[in-house]
Amino acid sequence: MKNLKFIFLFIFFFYISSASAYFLFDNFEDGDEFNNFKGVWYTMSDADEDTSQIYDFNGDGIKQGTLVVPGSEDAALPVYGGANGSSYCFSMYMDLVISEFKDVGLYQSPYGALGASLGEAPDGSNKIVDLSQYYGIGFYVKSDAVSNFQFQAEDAKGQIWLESYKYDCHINSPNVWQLIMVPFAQMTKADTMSNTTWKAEGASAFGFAGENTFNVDAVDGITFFVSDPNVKGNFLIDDVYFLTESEFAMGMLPIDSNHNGIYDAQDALRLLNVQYSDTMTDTFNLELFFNRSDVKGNLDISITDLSGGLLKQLSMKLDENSSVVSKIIQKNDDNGNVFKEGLYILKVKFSDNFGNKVVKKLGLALN
Amino acid sequence: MKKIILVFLISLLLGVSAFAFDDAKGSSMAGSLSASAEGAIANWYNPARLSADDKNDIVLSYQNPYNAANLTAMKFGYKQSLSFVNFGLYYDSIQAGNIYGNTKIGLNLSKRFDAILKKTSLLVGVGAILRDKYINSSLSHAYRYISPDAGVDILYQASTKLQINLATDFQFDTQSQDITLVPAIGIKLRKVGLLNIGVNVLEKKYSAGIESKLLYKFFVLRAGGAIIQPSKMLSFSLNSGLGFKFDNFGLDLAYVFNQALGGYAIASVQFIL
Repeated sequence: MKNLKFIFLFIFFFYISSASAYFLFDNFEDGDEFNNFKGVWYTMSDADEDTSQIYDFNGDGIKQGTLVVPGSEDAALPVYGGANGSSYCFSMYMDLVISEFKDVGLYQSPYGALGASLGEAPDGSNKIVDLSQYYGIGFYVKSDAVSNFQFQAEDAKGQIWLESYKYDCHINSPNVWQLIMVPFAQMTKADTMSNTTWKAEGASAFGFAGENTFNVDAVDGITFFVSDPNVKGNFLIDDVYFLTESEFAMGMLPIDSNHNGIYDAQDALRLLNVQYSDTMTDTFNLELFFNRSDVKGNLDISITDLSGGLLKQLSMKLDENSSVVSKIIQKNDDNGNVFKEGLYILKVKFSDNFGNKVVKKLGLALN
Repeated sequence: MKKIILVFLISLLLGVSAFAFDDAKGSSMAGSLSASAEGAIANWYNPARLSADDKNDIVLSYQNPYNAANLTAMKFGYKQSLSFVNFGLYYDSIQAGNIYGNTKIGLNLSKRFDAILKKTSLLVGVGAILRDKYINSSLSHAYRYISPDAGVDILYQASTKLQINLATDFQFDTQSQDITLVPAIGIKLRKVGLLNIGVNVLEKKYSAGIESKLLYKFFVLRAGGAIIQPSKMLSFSLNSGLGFKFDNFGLDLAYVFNQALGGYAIASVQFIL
């Protein structure tokens, strides 16, 4: 009987350990453009492609009709308003319009997509991440304009990005966060690649000889793909998890205490300290401490006298993985006068990558 | 008369500093009350004004300047009228966490000379300030030193209702060698209100404030503004306040909005002895 207890305990802990084998791909709470495989988030649209069928009306090289914000060359950063009360998610604004045909007989396929490369493996190696240990993917989606989209995974074999596999998804209610769970086994080869137009323009050049079953361990990117014409609105994604079969069967996303915490921008700017320099030197070292080492942003700093008279303005940057910023500052104010020993007011305006702006004031003592 | 003018001009040239954070009554009129302060608050603006009246009172004031996370400031003032001279005592403290501390203990004496000229009085005040300052750091050091403080006020009683004051306060900081001069004009209409215009020369602060007693006997409204230009960059503040008085108890509230630093509130209480 005693051994049986140990066996039950072993089974229990085995279950617990296997049950928590999910991988949080990104919940966007860290505010940067990187997912937890260190790949980047990006947007793309047919207007980005050289082969786009969107017509260049003005002849200025810019194809009209499709607008995606942020654009493919802009920073794709999280925005405020995540699922389940969390602070942030990933958003794309689209204006997909069929405006004119480029050539008689051809039709446009406007699309906008949110994508992420899987990048490096969590251990830092450069190989493509093996997703074969996961049964599927779960994520939240919300849109005020889109009713249908595809989840696509790109097979990196042969570096042919068109070797993608899709799963058709539906958004039931506008502007409500909805959980989508996609089993990898049910993904099928994207049929958008096999329409007659594409074939006519060079199907042979791309080749469609890839495998017809989804090879999950060769995936190097995922895409949330909207191709409805005349869609105009926002498309949001949050809490993207890779899940095991047992987790998948539960029909809900894991609660990850390390990542689901709501970022409090007000609380991030915690403390001021000044590393004093000698009275005889003409500089002092200003150090600012933060509660969150994972939050990044810019600091616009004003130094005033006690009456609020503005003496000096400067800026600093809170870099990645640091809870401290420091800067050597000249004791001359912006008018060329030397700061006297005494108390000043330091006004710190912190702007994070989410667009939050926090202003705090602290006493600054100089000697 | 020549002597009076001479004293006033000397005081203009020397100059002085008020403590950087004012009480609620002074803040609501943007400070620089060298020609208008009455009671214990005169300790902070102009020791000569301690003999502007013969009331005895205590004032307590507290604030968190600019709502800065690590800053607190408090003031205590006391005034006693004696038969031959008026006496004032005050304590100021401002702290920036445990990094910076600046406390002052001031002792003032004031005497009023009436009828030097027709309808004119001269108020003269002198004082000493014990300053204690520390900056706690790897090169920490503290200062404790005494600075002189002085002030004059020329009071002209134009009529039973109208009083005009020309005054200045000057302080010399023996440690920094700074001289702060705060000349001001105060116009007081009995039962109506007060107009105050002042300049803090060292801090390049130009302020004006009004106080209205028109509404009720126990209630006053105050407003003021200041332009501050210590460097080429100019900023301003807009101030407002309320004052209540019930028998021997007074409550003054002020709100200061500074263009560069935002707003904060100040509360002061006064006990008339």
